[in-house]
Amino acid sequence: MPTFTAKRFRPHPTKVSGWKIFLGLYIVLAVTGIAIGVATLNSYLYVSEAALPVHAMERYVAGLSRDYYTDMMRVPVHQMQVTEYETEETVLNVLLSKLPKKPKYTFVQDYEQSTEFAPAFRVACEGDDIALVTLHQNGETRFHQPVWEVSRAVSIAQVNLQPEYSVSATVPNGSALLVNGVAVPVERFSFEERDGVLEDAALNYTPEPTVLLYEITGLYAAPEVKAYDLLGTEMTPSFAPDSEKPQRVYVYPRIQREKAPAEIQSRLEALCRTFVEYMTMEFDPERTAAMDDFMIVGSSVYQFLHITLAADNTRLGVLAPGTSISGIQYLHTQMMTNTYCLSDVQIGTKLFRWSLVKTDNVWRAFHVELTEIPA
Amino acid sequence: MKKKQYRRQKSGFVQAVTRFGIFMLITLILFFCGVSAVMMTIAKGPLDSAKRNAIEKVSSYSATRFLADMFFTDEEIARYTENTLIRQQAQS
Repeated sequence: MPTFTAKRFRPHPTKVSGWKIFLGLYIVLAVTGIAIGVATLNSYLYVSEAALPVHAMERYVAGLSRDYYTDMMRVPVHQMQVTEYETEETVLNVLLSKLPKKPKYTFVQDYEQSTEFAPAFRVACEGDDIALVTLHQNGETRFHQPVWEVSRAVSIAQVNLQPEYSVSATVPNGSALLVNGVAVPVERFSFEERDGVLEDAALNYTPEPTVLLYEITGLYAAPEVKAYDLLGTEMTPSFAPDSEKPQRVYVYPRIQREKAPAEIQSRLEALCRTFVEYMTMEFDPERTAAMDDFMIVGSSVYQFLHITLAADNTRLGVLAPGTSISGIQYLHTQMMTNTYCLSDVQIGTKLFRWSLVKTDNVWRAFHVELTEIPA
Repeated sequence: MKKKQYRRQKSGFVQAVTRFGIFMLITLILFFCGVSAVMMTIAKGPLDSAKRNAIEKVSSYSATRFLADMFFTDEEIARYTENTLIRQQAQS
């Protein structure tokens, strides 16, 4: 009975030597070791790369908006000398107006400021350095690689902005001038002038300039200029600059009012009534005394009435026959100063331009001009 | 009989030398593959500083300079070498 063994079925059995097994294991282990080492190295490289401070800065810069620029520019703007007519916000708005909607932020490492544990970067907005950002280590990741976070950002921004705008405004005395909503103090008016002989005459009674010139320089933005007359009415400039011109020249003429302020109007009406009576009736010392109360003694109008029109035959010929108080028309009044005004009054066919000044708290006439109104 | 024994002894020595040679050859091949794998991982990897260091180290010896040529482009070699020079000048 034959016995069947494994050897019987494998007449030429493969004999694997120990050397070959060793060599195979050696190669397998070596290749596995290399593979594991390379995989670990690859992971290390990626983790190390991700842990670089540069990437923390890239994430930081990617999240910056226009507000960051504003915050950094506040520091140098705060150190600037800005006129009382503008605020730091005005300058910031001018700076922001020159900035694109999405400003481009870049950064570069500042090796002088950097240390091993606190790398520093200079952040630039549209090419201009605005901040020095320092990182600090906040924890570790794999392979003991540091996690970097921004610890502080210091403004190193500089303002490259020159004031371009200036204002030159000519306003009637007594007016209020507002530049960007800020009232210009009277003592800041650097120049005064008078126009015309009549106003020179008024100087004898009311020593105030009638026209003031104010000049202001060093503005960073186009200013909003407004002027209000004595009674608070906004005046319209007769000359205003183009919106693009940095030199803003304004000329404000006086407002011609149909009615003078109540105090002046009542006094003017009383003056005109007395005047009509004086001019249309025969000589009466009481009417002459009443008329004198409305005039400055020795003024041109005083001399006109007392010398030129003293006699009845000359005085009664000035106004047309039949002129009465009801025929008086008050046309308009110009407030030259707080204490000086011109009032146009039509009596019959004649136009009377009364020059009144306020002396001893009473309005009195010092000059009158007569003009024949063409039919 | 003696002749047969001598032959058997001789073939055992040759076999040992042959096996040692094969082992050393495979070790060298594995070492080269390992170094190449490391260099390729660094070359394809993201870390610039690792690339720069690898190029620096490899380029220091004429015998290993071929590794830099194998795994790095001429531009990379020039760039990292130039950066190294600039940094050294800045530090000095």
